Amino acid sequence: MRSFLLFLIMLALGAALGLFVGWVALPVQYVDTAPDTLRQADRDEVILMIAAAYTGDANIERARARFRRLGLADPGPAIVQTAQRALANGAPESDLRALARLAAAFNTFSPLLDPYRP
Amino acid sequence: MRAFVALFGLILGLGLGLFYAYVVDPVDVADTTLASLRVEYKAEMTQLIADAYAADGDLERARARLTALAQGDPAKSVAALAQQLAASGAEPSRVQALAQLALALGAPPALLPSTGSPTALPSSTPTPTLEPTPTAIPTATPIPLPTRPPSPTPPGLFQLATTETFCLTAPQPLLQVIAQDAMGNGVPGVEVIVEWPGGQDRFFTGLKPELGLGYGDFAMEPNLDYTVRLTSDPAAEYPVRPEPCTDPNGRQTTTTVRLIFRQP
Repeated sequence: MRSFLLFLIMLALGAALGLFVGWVALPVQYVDTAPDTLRQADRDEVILMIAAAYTGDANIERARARFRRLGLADPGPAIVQTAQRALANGAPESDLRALARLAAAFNTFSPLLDPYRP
Repeated sequence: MRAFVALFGLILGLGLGLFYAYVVDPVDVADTTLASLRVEYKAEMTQLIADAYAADGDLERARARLTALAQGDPAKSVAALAQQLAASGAEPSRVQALAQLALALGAPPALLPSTGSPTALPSSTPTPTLEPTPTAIPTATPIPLPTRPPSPTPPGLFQLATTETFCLTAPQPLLQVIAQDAMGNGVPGVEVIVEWPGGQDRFFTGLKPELGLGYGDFAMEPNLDYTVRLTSDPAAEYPVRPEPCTDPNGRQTTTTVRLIFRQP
């Protein structure tokens, strides 16, 4: 009986160790991924780049296509959320102006971006 | 006996845990990084970085973004993409944005495609004096097009599609050859014969894949007449002569010549 209990305890311990290794210590590494799986920080950076590029070329269709790559058919809310995080992180005003311009191009308005609207 | 049972339980549990974590319920494909993107998406991101740089002129930011893509030397990767897009006939403004960024990152002008007149960076550029002046400006120097045989080109052979000359600030004038298939994709392994009075040399396309699969080059001497031929069609000869020219910075240099061959 004691041996069986010991077996169960060690089994649970081994399983916990295996899960820790597989999920935390050495999780599956994905390569050749698509932009719609990017983590939040990288996604924000891409949205900032799209906003900067739009400032330069004013090409709304190109910006829309780039948002589609991020899996965002309606980019407005994502732009506002990025602006919120940018503001919280002390981003330069030029970034916020670019985001405000891009949000307006997608008919998205937020009090947060009003001061930066052209 | 007890130790054996404990060890068996531990190993069995570990195996079950690993199987569950790696196979049954692995970490989701989310929260990935720019560095893990597929190659074509990295190219799109590189273009986006160049477009953003063209708008804001923030070189350090562009460099940091390129570093996050983990494509090796940022200048070379941007220059290579500019070459590839130029060879595939992409929109000139996109090629120009890439070339401008590559130059700012320190890529040699000889690695860059012709992009026409460079567009000035916005006046809000933080350090405008650090922006190098693009020098890959095509000159008006005419190069006579070779006379092609009247018979149609057999399949697999190449026809000269374009001859371009550039007045680049480069230590030596280059003969650049780009071989493309009918769709405009680079074709590697095309042997090029270069002859000049008293000498001959050969090179292949595709030996500098970072500049495009169909790209190959040869360093010429100024003011020397060259004849270029492809081994696949030795009867067709293309005369080339690097001429003196003045680059946009007013320096005396010699024209670089680019021949683009395409399969019909």
